[in-house]
Amino acid sequence: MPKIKVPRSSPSLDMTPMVDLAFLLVTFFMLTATMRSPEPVIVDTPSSISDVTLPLNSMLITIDTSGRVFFNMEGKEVRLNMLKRMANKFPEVKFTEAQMNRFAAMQSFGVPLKDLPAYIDADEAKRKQIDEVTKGIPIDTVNKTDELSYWINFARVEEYTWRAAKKAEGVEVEEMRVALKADGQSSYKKVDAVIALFKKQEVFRFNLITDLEGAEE
Amino acid sequence: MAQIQDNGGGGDGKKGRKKGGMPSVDMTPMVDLAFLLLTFFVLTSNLNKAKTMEITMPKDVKDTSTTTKINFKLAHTILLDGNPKGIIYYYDGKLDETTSLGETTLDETNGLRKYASNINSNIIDAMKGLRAEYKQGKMADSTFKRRRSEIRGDKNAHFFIIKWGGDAKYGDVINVIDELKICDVDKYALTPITRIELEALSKKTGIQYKELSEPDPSAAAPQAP
Repeated sequence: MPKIKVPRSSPSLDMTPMVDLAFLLVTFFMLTATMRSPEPVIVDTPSSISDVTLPLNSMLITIDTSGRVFFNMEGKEVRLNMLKRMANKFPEVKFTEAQMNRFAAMQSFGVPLKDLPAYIDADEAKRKQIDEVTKGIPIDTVNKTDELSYWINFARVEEYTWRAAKKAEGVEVEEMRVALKADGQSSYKKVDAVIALFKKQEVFRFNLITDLEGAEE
Repeated sequence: MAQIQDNGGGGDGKKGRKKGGMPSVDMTPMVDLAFLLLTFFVLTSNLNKAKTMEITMPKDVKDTSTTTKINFKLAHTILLDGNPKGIIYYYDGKLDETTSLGETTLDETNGLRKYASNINSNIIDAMKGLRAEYKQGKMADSTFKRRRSEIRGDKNAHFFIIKWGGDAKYGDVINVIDELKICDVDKYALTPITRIELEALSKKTGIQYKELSEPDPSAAAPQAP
């Protein structure tokens, strides 16, 4: 009787379909993942049971422990036009074309407008230094040094025109939300001052960014 | 393991000639890398989404004559002064000389949640029933939302006024709103603390708040009783 032949080489498997699938998934996640924007300050948000996710199209105002205000608006086109309006409003601060374009590609910032050109020109390490010592965007309405209102206002106007243009092209973009990200340890008085500015800009509905806390429903 | 099936070349002694067949490559490292990347993207993309709490603030109204008067029987006021012990003070109804401020904490079993859920028990029960019905799949999302706002927005529903003063932190305020949300309270308001309340609080805690030494800003615009 002939012996049953045992194959000497190790059993091999055609892995091609698996690899195909793996790469397909990698590509999918790479394309869908939105890169987290680098934040100038670390903010420890309070936790809540709320599990509503932040809409993609949003303006972000960050308040850190010492009450400094940072501002971020997504979208290069919107940012560029927003800065142009800002430059018109405050002609004493001069921006070059290159600075404006560089600003459009930036993220969150927290410097008064007069320091913004220097902040734009700074490199990464220098910006970090500035972020540490900056007093944030001025919000003082009593002494009329408030700049945040203008940022919010211009950002909303530009975002609206941009969205309307998109709509004309047939692309429907969800309405922008204003998000407030404050540190749990920052004084509520500061947060309230920012909320008061929101109200003046007729922003009555906004999102407070919180950490998800495991609580029973 | 994927193996290069190298049967070509050997056997007949002729060098430099390979037999026909698929040239195969060891794909293991590539697969390893692909799955590593896959894991990375799956994990980061899920953790990245910021969670938010939606909030609606009322418009500031100068003319108080047209606004609705609140029913003090249904009103509960929570006072936050940002004390490091995390004590929350509260009182029911209207504040007068006889009112004594209650003390509570954020404790999950005996704190604010107990206080608020006792007050709001009717709504909590109604919401429990509604959620059970919704979970069984008998209800459309829109119906659920409509009935939820009906239950929570009932005109006899108790409402909470969160008043902040002193060193109240943003986190304190969010924690209180969160507790109220857990207790299905939909009617709450956020306002700065008034002078009278701060005086009462100061009497209770013995802390001399720095707002008390300043002139009263609300004195010029007295609130309608």
